[in-house]
Amino acid sequence: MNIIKRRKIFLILSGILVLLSIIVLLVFGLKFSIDFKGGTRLEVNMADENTDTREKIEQVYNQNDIRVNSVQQTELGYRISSSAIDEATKDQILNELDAQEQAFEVLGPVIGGETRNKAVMAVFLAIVAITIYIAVAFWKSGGVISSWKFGITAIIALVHDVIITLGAFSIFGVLFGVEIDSLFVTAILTIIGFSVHDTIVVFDRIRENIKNNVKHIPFEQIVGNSITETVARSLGTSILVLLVLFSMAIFGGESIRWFVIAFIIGVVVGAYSSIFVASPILLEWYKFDQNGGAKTLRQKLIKPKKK
Amino acid sequence: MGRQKIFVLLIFLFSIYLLIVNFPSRFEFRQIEIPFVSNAINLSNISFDPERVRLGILGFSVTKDLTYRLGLDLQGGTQLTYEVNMSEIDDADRENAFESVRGIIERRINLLGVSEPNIQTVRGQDIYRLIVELPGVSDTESAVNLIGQTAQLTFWELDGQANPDELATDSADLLTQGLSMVLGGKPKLTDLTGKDLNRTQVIFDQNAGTPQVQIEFTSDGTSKFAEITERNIGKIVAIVLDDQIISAPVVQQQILGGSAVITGSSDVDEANRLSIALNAGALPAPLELVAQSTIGPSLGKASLEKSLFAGIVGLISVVAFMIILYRKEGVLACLALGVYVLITLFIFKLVPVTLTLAGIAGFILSIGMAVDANILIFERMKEELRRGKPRKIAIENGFRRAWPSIRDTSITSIITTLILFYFGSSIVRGFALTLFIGLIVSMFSAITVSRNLLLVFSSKEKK
Repeated sequence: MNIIKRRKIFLILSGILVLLSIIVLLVFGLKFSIDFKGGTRLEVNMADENTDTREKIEQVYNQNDIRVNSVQQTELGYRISSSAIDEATKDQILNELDAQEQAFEVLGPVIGGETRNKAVMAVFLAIVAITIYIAVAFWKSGGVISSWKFGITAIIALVHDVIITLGAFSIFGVLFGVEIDSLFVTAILTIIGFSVHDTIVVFDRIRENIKNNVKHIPFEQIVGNSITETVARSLGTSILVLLVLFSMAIFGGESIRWFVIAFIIGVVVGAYSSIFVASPILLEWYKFDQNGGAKTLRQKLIKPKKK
Repeated sequence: MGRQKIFVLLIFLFSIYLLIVNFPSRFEFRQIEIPFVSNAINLSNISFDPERVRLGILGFSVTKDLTYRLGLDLQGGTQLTYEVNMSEIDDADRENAFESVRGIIERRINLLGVSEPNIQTVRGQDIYRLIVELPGVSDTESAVNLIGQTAQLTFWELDGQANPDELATDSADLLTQGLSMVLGGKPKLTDLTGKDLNRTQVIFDQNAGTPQVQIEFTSDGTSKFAEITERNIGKIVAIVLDDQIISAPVVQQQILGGSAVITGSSDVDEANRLSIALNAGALPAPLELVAQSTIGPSLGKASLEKSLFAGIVGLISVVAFMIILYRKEGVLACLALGVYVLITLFIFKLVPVTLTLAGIAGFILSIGMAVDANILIFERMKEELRRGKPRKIAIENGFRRAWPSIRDTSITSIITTLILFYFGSSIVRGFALTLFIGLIVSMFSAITVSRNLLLVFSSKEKK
């Protein structure tokens, strides 16, 4: 109940976070990996490493006229992302760095562009598909709220999650040099699935309580009760999933570490959004409709002018 | 009641089997043969080797290899993406040409002796691509050279009808220039090509021990070759592969035997590659390498070890958490979870699913979501108990009311995995596939395994 009473605070908080994320994204943009731009990724095992190793790497690359995108430390050495390198230049660089090759990946720019298009399409499709499914699944939720509202509210919560995650990674890109690769897109898509997952559980409860609303409790209270009833489960699952994710982030392979971190952020924000964002929005929308909805809004805007 | 007990028992036995199948390195079972002899005819015979299941009935036998398949990022290996340049080929012939290219590449790779290679085709609007995966291959340059080469073999002689002084110096073509230098005049293409080859093999020169490629012509080729050698006795005939002259021997005599030797390979590998390329045939359209990826085996191994460790830690923390929070039901849920893990791993072996790093992450994630389904059920159950319902009814209601949530959440996640599968690269697909399988099995496990376990074990409590 407290959540519903204080919903304005949470909605404002969410609004600020989303706004901040958008600003960050506009200012810093996302650091795209070679998966989207084309280029080369070289992982090396260095014979000797010290604090200057990074500089040394960049130096050697610059000497060979190759632009470096990022240098990251891995469990076996370093991963360097750069513009395209051919075999000969690669051998030269390995020689000059006294390093052994661990992994080598070259992607042409055509493939990069394709990956980008595919990623955007995939996210768009996922959002559409999920909206439709929710609308269909909630078809019989009983006259109080139309099923489309459920669907669209869930999508709003979802978009909220995605934007905040993107914003976070924009900052990570600036601070840690983390790049957005196709695995990150996978994480985003899975977060979409997961965030909706959480939201659906709450909505399910709301729907059920509407159906069994013998005592004719006001809608606001129904929503409040639903949240209270599902919070325990929401927290339970989220903590469990986070346990698993944290162990993967700490102990797991380096190449998927940021992938897992993206998940962690997504799960946390997703859980938060289903309780503090989705339900309040649903409630507000309901109230808006109760007070006449769009028609009344238009009238209120037109009336003063008529004076 | 009895039905559920039987079910639980069956699941228990099946789990033991799965335990052995899924972790074969520890459990080495000798062959258990159960011959059914009737009039000295073996009617059936089952042998049990955990990694291979073989069922023989009435002379028909089916073998299934049940080892885990590891993706390139865990095994180490090379992935090459080629784009087929169809500019010289008519629209009508393009599909055929593409099929032909695929077949030839497959032959070349098989001749290379790579174990379990994988060739995928990617088709789009005007896009003809091949993705070649070579596990365990770390010498990328060699592989690229062999696979990408068009391998068109041609034979050239000196144009007897041209003016001897007419040299093709104004031609921009490097090949023609080279040929005219070697032949001493204007080059002429003969009608003998790589298509007239029957087979080739690598032999070693008896004196110098250098590697050579011996070629044998078809009967057509033999007669063509006889004519060419007859015409050019004392002169040079140039052998050209794509746009490089690889050999330019002087013809000593007319060769009727239909076999010849190409010298000039610098080492055995090169000779081998040439032999393979000629054996497999020339590509009808040239290939362009648009992406490549090589992962060294030690990196692969390190990634695998870490992921497994993380998975185990994750699993242990989940079990601990469940038991602390839900006590007795928690234990049952963990049992159900154990069965879930075993079934899913078994399916990975059966399909087989190629496990990549992201794929393992997907599997671990699905474990988290499977637990979620169980929690949903428990929370509902607790609620029913709080309302004073008797235990068995509480359980049934718990399931009934939790099911819509489980179904909806699983399906929305499945939708995203389907989309991922359709759009993604092979690594992404690995993730999508494991998550998909995990979700389906978890839906099944929640309704059947968890439920029956709960029912069986809680009815005992009443007594």
